[in-house]
Order: sequence, then C-alpha cells, then structure tokens
Amino acid sequence: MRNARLLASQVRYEQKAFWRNPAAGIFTVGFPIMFLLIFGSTNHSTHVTGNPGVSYDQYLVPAMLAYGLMNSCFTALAIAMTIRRESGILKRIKGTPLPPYIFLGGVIGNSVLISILTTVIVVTIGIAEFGVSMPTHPAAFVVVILIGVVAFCTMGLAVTIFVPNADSAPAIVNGIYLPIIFISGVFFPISNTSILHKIGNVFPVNHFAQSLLATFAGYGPGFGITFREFSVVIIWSIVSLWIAIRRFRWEPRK
Amino acid sequence: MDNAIVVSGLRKSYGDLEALKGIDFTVKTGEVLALLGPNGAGKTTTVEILEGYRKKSAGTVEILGEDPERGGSRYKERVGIVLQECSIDPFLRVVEVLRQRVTFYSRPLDVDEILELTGLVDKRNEKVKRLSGGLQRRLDLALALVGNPEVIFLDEPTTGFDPSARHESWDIIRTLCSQGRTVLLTTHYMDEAQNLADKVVIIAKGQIVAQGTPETLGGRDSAATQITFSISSTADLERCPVTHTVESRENMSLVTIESTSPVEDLSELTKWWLGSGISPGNLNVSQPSLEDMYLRITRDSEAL
Repeated sequence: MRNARLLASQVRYEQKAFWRNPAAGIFTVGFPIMFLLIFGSTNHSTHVTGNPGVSYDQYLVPAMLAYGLMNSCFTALAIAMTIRRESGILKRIKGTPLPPYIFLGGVIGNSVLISILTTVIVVTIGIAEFGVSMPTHPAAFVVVILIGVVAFCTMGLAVTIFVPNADSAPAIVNGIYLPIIFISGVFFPISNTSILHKIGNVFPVNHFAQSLLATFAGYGPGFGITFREFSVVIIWSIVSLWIAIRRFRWEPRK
Repeated sequence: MDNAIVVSGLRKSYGDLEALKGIDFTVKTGEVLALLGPNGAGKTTTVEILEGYRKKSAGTVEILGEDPERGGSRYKERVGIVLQECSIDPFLRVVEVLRQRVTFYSRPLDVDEILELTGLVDKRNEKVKRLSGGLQRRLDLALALVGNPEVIFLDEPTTGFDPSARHESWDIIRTLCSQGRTVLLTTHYMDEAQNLADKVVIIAKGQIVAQGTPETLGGRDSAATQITFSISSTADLERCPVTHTVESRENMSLVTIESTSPVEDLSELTKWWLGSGISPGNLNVSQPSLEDMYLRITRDSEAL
C-alpha cells in the first residue's frame, strides 16, 4: 500500500519534471504529430504497396504511433536516464531509502502516461484530419500499445549501459533507433523480400508496428494479434529487463 | 550508544590496486570528524563504503549498529548523504524537490523546518536552475536532512564557496551537531577542519598517517613555536641572545627562531630590544597551523 502510494507520487514527480522542460515535451510528443501531418498530407489517398486494400493513411497512423511510442519510451527515456546518471541524480536516489524498483517504476509510469497522450492525439488527428476509422479491435489495440510501451521502456533502460557519458547519449541512442525505425518500415513500407526487411524483423519495432496496424486497421485474422509478431516483442522486453536488472548503472563513470 | 561510527581494519582493493590498506577510526555520537588527505588518498572510497555505495574487501564498519553493506533501506533511513558532485532536477522548485524527498522516509523532518535550518526560506519557490552554485550546495545539504538523519556524510561540502557562504555553512553544521547528529566530512580546507572538527584523520595512500584533535594533530601542541621579526641592521644581531636563522630581504633582514621555550626566549629578546633601543618589525609568534602540520605529515608520507 505504502509502495503503491510511493509509486504514484514518483509518477507525479516525473511528470512534473518532464513537462517543466519545454524542449523535452515538444520533441517527444510533437515529433510524431509533425511527421503524421507531413507524410499524411503529402501522400494522401495513395495505397500501400504490399498491403493492398489498406490506404496509406490507415497505415500511417499506427506507424507514426509506433514511432512516437518508441520516441517517448526508448529514446527519451534512455537519454534522460543517462543524463541523470552522469549528473549524479541516480546516485543520490541510491543513497535514500526509496526502493530502486519504485524509482524505475516511476520513470516507466511517466513514459506510459506520455504514450497514452501521444496515442490519443495521433489517433484523433488521424480520424479528424485524414478520415481513418476508429481502431477495429480497440481492446487488442490497447493491449498491443501497453506491451510495446513496456518493451521499449526496458530497452531504453538496458541501452543506457552502453552509453559512456551524457554527451554521447543522443548520438548513440539516435544512432541505434533511427536505422531500426527505417528498416522496420515505419516511415516507408519495405518490400517483404528485401534483406533489410529480414534484418528489421530481428528487432521488435516492425512486429510492434504490424500488430498495431492489424488491430487498428482490422488487418489479418482474429483480433489482429498474432503470436509470432508478439513473441518477438515480448522476448525483447524480457531480455532487456534481464540486462537492465543485472547491469544498470546508478553512478557516473569516473 | 557512545560511538556512532566504528571502522576497523577497513580494506578495499580494486584488482591489484589496494585503495585502502587497513583503516581504523571511531566517531562519537554528536561529534564532527574531518577526513583529510591528498586527492587519490582514499577519502572518497572510505566515505562511499560508509555510505553503502561500495563493498569493503576486508575489515568491519559499524554505523549506528548497522553494517552499511547490509543495512539496506533501514540504514538509509538513518543517514543523510551529501555527495561531492551531484545535480538536482533543474526545472523543479526548491520546495517541490524537498516535498518529493519527504515521501521517501518514514519519519521525515518538516519541510519548513529544513528550509529554516538551511536558510533557504526565501528561495522556497525558486527553480533549482536559478539558484547560485552555493545555494544549490545548500539545497544538497537540505535534501540530506529530510530523513532526520542521525549520521550525516558531507563530501567536500563547501568547495568553491566564498568565505561568507562557507561560514554560514559551518554555522548550519554546528547547529546539526548541537542537535546530537554525528557528522563525517571530507575537505581540502584546513580552516574548515580547524573550525568544525572534534577530530581529524589524515589519510595518505590508503593509510591513516595521523589522527587527533585539530589542536594536537601530529604533536602540533608540543611542536616548536616560531618567533619571527625583521631588523634593519644585521650588525645588531651579533648581540641577539637566542639561536636564530637570518634571511636577507631588500632593505632588512628576517630573523626566525624555532623555540621550545617561547616564554623564556621572548623575555630574553624583549630585554635585548629594550636595552639596545632596537625596534623589531613584523613581530610574529605562532604555533604551526593545522595546514603546516598537514603539509608536513603528507609530505613525509609521500616518502613512504
């Protein structure tokens, strides 16, 4: 009970710290909206190659969501945590009785809230501006988002291990995530037979985006969640969590 | 309990490098211990083991009856830590940062009381990034006090302060001790140790090379008193009644006497000055300062 209260208070605190820094808010939530508006307006009413019957907009909305959620959960979280680690904020937390998992829970909770906001805005713009329809399987859509968000957050925590200092954080994190985003076909659909597609399929982003597309556009069988797509996302999140628990650093590198 | 901190046979190795080679000291409840020593001597390693950040390789550490390595959050409830370099979420206000910290502890101090104690009342609604370096350091201390700690660790708490800010911080630390809290601080400022510490420990190359009160450290109280004065004509010195050394300056000579019986020597000197009508300039009688002792001790240990 006390831990639940502590966690809620940590999430509130993280939210406050996040929104007080206007640059962070604009870049994290603003980017997917900006790309949705740009790509949606330039490619309006075209169809997606490889997915006949799906309009580009119907494809673009879940794709921009995949991008936006990875942005707020993986990129923003990894950069912010590296900066906090190097400036000693994490070390200070370690010197208090606050349980580390509650602190990290607060950080992830903050990303979940930002993700929910991003989802609402992106879907609303999609419906209002580009005439896409509401998610076909709303419950499955929400489940996909929540599992993806947790996966990207744990990947964000794990990747900080490989970032030596705060200055290199944006370069390293973007250097990892931009290529993955591109080869995962988030911005432009990639041919199913290409080598890039095969490499991209190792990473969870394409599987996440495909699951989002399937639940959002009602594409594919059942509720749109396929075990094959989902298992990759879940394996990535379990492995990342395992790495993060074992190797996460709370202190700056000397 | 009489001793708040008991450290014995403390060792720490990083691979082949022995950072601490067996450290022993105790701090009584309500006392201030100053840990001094050159950079790289092992001060921060010692403090970080005591704070619970590092595991010791050998020896025992007992603080408030707990081993910091095993005490976990029960131990962290009872100590306050001010780290050497550590920033605070820049966009939040002073009072917000403190209120957040309050939720971590089961019996915290009142936020207003902390603001009062650390002189941050006027800054309670200021954003952290707008505070000067000195005030941010003050907020560091305020954060360490939130849990109402019995033991406080201060790693170089006043580095970079102007003199008046330093004196204000000393007043705060004295107040904390008068409330029965125990303080362990590291510093490079000898006047800080002199002003605050009940006990001084000097570490060099992972070993304690001297410990005692600031007044008696390294035999400072029994060391020779230095008497210096200047004189315009060296010819007069022929009749000087005490053994001395002379250093020639531009238009005068600087005379130095290392005296083990300063009262007698001064009496002889005054008789000589009055009798021969000499008026010495810049007369100075001094015990070696803590800084002199520190330099002497650490220089000797360099030769080890």
